[in-house]
Amino acid sequence: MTFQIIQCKPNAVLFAAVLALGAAQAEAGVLYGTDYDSYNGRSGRPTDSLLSLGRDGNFGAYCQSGASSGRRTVVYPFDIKNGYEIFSVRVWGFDEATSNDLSYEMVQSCQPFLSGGAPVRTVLATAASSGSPGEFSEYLYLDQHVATSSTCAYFLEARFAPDNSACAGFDLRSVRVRVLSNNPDVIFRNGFAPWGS
Amino acid sequence: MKPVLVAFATGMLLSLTVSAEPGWIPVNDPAELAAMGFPPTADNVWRLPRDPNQESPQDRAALGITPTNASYSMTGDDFVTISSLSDYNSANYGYLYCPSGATSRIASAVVNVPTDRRLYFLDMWGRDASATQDINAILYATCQPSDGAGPPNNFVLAEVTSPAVVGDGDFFVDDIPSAHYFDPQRCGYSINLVLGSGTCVGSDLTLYKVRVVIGGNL
Amino acid sequence: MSTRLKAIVMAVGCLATSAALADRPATQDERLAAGFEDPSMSLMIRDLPLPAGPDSRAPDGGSGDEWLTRIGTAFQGRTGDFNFGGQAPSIACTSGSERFASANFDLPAGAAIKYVDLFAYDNSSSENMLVFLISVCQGTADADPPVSTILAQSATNATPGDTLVTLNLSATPIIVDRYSCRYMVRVNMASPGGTCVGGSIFLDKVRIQYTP
Repeated sequence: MTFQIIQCKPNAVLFAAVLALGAAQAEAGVLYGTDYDSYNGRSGRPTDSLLSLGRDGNFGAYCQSGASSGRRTVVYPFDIKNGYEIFSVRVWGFDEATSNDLSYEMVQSCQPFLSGGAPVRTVLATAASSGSPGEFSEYLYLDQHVATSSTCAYFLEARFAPDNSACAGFDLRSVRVRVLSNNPDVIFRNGFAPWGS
Repeated sequence: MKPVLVAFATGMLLSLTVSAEPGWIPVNDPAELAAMGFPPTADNVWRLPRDPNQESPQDRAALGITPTNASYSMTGDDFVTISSLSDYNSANYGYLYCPSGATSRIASAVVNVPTDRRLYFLDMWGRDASATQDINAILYATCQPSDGAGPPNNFVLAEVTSPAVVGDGDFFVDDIPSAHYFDPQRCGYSINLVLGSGTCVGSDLTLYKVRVVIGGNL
Repeated sequence: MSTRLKAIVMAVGCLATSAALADRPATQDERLAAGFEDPSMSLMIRDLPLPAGPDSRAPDGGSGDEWLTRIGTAFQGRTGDFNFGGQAPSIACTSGSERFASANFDLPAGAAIKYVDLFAYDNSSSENMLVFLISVCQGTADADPPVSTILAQSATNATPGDTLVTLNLSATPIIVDRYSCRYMVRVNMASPGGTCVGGSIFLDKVRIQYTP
């Protein structure tokens, strides 16, 4: 699990404050520029058409592939506006597998603005389940990373097993993913809709 | 906004925590659960109760360039089958059906909606030319503790089912659910699509689009 | 109103631009290239010429422009026969003849789509990748099938390796009607031959630049 608050105290204080505000204001129906986007586990896109994914009773995904050729990863693409700050990604899952853990990488993939060029991947944060705790939740801290969506794409990659290796089946499940971002230009915003809310 | 609606909506918002409030209706019929794609023994599926004080729906006038109804729409390309190896077909046009003879007929899509917006309508377009089977779409909230591990609960917020065959089978149906406010901090939102109740019948059961209509602009 | 007439009205309404539009039914060759085989279904083509001249955009957008990107991995095959692989964000069409994949773009209501940029790798001497911007529109309470309109299209050319293909709509931007329409980008990863060429062609991402 990547949780770097100790290494960056000023940001940590701000982050904790915003989180607290976000939680409290969400209860009251008012937000300060923060935006939560939630994705069910099965919405992850396989990186290989040979990958065998199943769905559990909570829209979570599990990998059914045996030891055969191919990748064992799914991808959750995020829509984050240019200039927004990415605070964190929280993941929920289920791990009763003794052989495998579920690992996550938050990836920034950049290419030139107006010319061809190979994508350059940068891993911004990582996390993983460990042991076999059953239900788990992990947290990827992005340290208010400012999105440059004009040149880069952002996605979370979840790995069920090393490539070409056997997955753990129903014992290892990606249930939900949530990204928290913030519009730095919003000081105050009334979250109630203009009509009928 | 009517006070009773505020109270009801607040109850709905607060109820989407780890467990359901008493007002939610548990779904515990094994056949109904199985038809939805859940395990027949699932004990974490609930249904939003109907509000007897429901206000009249807002005007649904089509948009010009100034939006009057915010919405989130999904077409066939947004759906993933219940198993990644299941066969599907977009009928070339971004629709969705399961090919004749296939046995996997359930798919799902994520619904991305902002915090605190009110749910107004669930709309579905498609083609149902089957005399014996229907298309069903359900909007679910799947909720967990906000910042830690915990068991998910699934809440049925709205549901639409294709009507009896009319003409060539093209249809539009909608559902006007009780007041509910989205909370993506605690919950993920999904459409569960069920294309018939037995072996797939091909393009006779085709989804064109599902739309979630919400309050405000988007 | 006949279904056909309603379809035309819907297509024109969905575009909602002030420019004089020149939508026409697609020819069969155009249908095949874009993966719309069924001639009984409505498919329109927008024949507005793309503006010539230099593309002087900057990453800061100017005029408050925004971007929305779909990585290759987010594209879904037209049918379950689409075979693909690659390291995210890129996918290659690895084998077979199902070579079409699509992704929807969730754009805000009233946004003006100005550019669609395809980032790709093409080292195939026989095949190119085609890219299409398509609207799919349908009226509330109207049970008729949606009307699909190809708003713009282009293709990779020769064997450039890493390449960028731009659909420049800035002279007549597409105004997003979010309530009635979906906007999808479709790629044909093996044209004209029709058989996938594996790692000779990769789809990295598609980016839309729009004014909110």
